[in-house]
Amino acid sequence: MSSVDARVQDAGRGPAAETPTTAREDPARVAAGDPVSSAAGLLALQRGAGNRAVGAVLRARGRAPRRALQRLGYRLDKPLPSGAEKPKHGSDPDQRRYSIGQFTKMWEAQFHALSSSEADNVLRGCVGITALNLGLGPLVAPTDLPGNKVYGTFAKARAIAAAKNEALGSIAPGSPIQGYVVYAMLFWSNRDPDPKKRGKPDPKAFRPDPRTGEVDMSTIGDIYALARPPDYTNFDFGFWDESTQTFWHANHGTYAGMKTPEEIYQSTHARFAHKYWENGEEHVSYPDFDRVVYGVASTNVKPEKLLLPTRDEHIAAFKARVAAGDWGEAALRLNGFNTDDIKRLGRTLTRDERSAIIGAAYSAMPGWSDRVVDNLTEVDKEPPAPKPKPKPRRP
Amino acid sequence: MIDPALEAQLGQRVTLTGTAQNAAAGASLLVDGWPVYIGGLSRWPADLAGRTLDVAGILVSTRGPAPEERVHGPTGGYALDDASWAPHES
Repeated sequence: MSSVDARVQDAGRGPAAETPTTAREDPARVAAGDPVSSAAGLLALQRGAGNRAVGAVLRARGRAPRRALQRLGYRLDKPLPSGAEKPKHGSDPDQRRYSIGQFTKMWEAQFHALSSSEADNVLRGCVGITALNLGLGPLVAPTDLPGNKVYGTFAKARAIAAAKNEALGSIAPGSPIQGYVVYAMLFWSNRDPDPKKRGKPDPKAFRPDPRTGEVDMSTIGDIYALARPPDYTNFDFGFWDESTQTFWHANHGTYAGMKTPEEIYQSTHARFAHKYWENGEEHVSYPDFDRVVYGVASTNVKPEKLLLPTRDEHIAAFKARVAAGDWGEAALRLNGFNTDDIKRLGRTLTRDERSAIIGAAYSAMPGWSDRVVDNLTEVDKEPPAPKPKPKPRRP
Repeated sequence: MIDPALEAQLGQRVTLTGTAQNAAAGASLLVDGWPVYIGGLSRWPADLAGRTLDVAGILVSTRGPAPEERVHGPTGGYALDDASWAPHES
């Protein structure tokens, strides 16, 4: 017979007791009236003085000082760098399993020493890991915040968070942090308070609105008490790390009666949340769950990499503006691309469409429309692309 | 939730037969629809997951975190401590 040969080494409430409590670093404030310290200020300056003048001002200021950044773990598609600690609880190609002590060390090395309330969060398991990354206290879950909307797909939540980050503009050096991030929650669809009635899944519950992609969570109830009966886990939260392209989560919290150590997981999206069917029932990742939703939340914790729209999403948005005949917005979106992309996209347009964008660019970007106007004008002057030769017919 | 059959054997060394499954909180043995957790074991070895096993150990009641503790985990249940296991031979 085989047996359990490894016992809990670090499942006690160690980090809170061992880690000195330190205050969060106090973010420096933006100097009042400095027009190049915010996106809005830069935009106003661009509109008044033009791109070249703004560029000269920014170059004269020199490079912005690098801020301390949160960065936990390494990408899973590359080997751990030499000197990096091996995950105590093992790893697979799509998951690394760290101990609480290792997670705490990584957090402190990259960010700051955990305060006692942050250490308490880590000991709550997955919900605590997500709360920690959202800057929430140890009694709060992301679902407690009514402003946090959740969606049925990761792609939808990611796109919403990216658009919100883009709308915020760039984070000025030294300014307080605000950004949008994505988290996920796995749970059991049937939320009947009576455990005898809760065993069967509710196939219609918590499905995304086909129009908006949003999931109505108003009937979720007590997320701590309502789990799949009998004795399955109440939920699994995961925090999406754009830098390493992984979710951070855990198997459970640390509490009396739990002999299996709390492990902190770094997983690919597919490992964290994958649907499967068993005995005719839908599940997500474990027998405990049959739903996954993806939330968008504001955080004041500095991410290593801000989640922003991908190049494909930018191109799709530009094409949508062209299709709608919204030439001013199309010109503004085109201005966000590099020169090669402006020309490349310009070649996909008809001559009339290019003319419409050029015409709208002057009023959409008064004084700073040169890049769009000049590059589209150059495309207009290009000789027409040669027509492809017809394939020879087979006899 | 309370299972009368398991409740009657609490504190005793027992051998249970069931299916090895990896639940969110760790390795468990699915016995008549009831997940009995294996104390201290996070997941089954890959070659055992999904198989029918005989697992011997001391049956204990595991108290899940109270809802007011706001912790992630099972809401209650049973576990086999000091467990050992072997494939079930029918």
